[in-house]
Amino acid sequence: MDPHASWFTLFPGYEAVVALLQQNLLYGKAGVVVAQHLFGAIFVLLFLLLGASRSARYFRSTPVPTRRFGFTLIYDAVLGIAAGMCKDLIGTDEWKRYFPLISTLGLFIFFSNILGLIPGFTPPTDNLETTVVCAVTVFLYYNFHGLRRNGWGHIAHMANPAGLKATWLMAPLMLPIELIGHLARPLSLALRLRGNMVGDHAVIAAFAGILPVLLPLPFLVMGTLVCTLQAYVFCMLTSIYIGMAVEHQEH
Amino acid sequence: MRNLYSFLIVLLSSSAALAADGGGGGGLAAIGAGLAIGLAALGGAIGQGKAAASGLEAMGRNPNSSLMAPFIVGLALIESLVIYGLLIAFQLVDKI
Repeated sequence: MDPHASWFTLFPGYEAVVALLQQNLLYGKAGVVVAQHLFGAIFVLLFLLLGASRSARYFRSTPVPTRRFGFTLIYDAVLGIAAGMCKDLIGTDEWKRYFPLISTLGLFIFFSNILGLIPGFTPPTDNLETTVVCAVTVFLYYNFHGLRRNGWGHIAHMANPAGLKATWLMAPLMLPIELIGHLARPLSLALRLRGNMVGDHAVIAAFAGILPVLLPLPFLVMGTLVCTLQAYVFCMLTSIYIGMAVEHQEH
Repeated sequence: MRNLYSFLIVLLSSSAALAADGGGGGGLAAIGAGLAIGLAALGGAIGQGKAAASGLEAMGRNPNSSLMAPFIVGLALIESLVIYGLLIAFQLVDKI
């Protein structure tokens, strides 16, 4: 069987996009893989739009949470967890300002990861470009809000994390270390998510290749756990970074 | 210790012979991939075991504490180092 076979071939315009990407010198033959991630991301975005409109319509009519399994229930659960995380980890009262980004990232990553568990779909999060985009968005966002809240204090905190007058002597040493630490954050966010998804997918594919019936079942259960946990960890680290950047600093 | 050296010499000479046969260093890449994920998993498993042991002990002593979130973040941070090893292993496997 063709290893690149997937449900996305049924999408209109798939062949044209693959041909277009394969003409590109950057991708070449790998255009098939890129097209799958592209279509996967578009599919997840359409899914999210549908779910958002449905659950918004539901919650406009009644504030009572639903008990029926569907978009509304999943949205309610994910947004509830994200809201609790924001409230706990971003120490200020203005956590609601940062809630939309964190919950959107959570929903996108969660649905992308779960998509990979359905046979014949590639999760968009198992290529580096998707996860790097998410991680760089987080990096720019928390630095922007740190600068907005604390001004030069954001930079001064990097040069002098202890906040004492005497420790300014350490600034030439601390600033490069802190800068490297900050730059490592998006890198580790992206690599962690992508590596987990690639590993998960590879394990399930390997065992489904041995025997497609019943054998991959424990790995699918573990995959569900890993997918949920990685979305949770991504959102949690995002809220921790935002919380560290926007807390009030005396400088 | 001498056993280890002789093992390494045999390993290197065999892979050098493989390369001379037109293996193109594929043997070394395979050994490297195995070592990358194997050693990463070894260290990560020891670290996660220690973290889980003390985390669960702390949660057992005080069930009302909300230690679950820092616990999971700690495990994820330890695990990410193993995942780097896995990614390196995948890249090495591509070279075979």
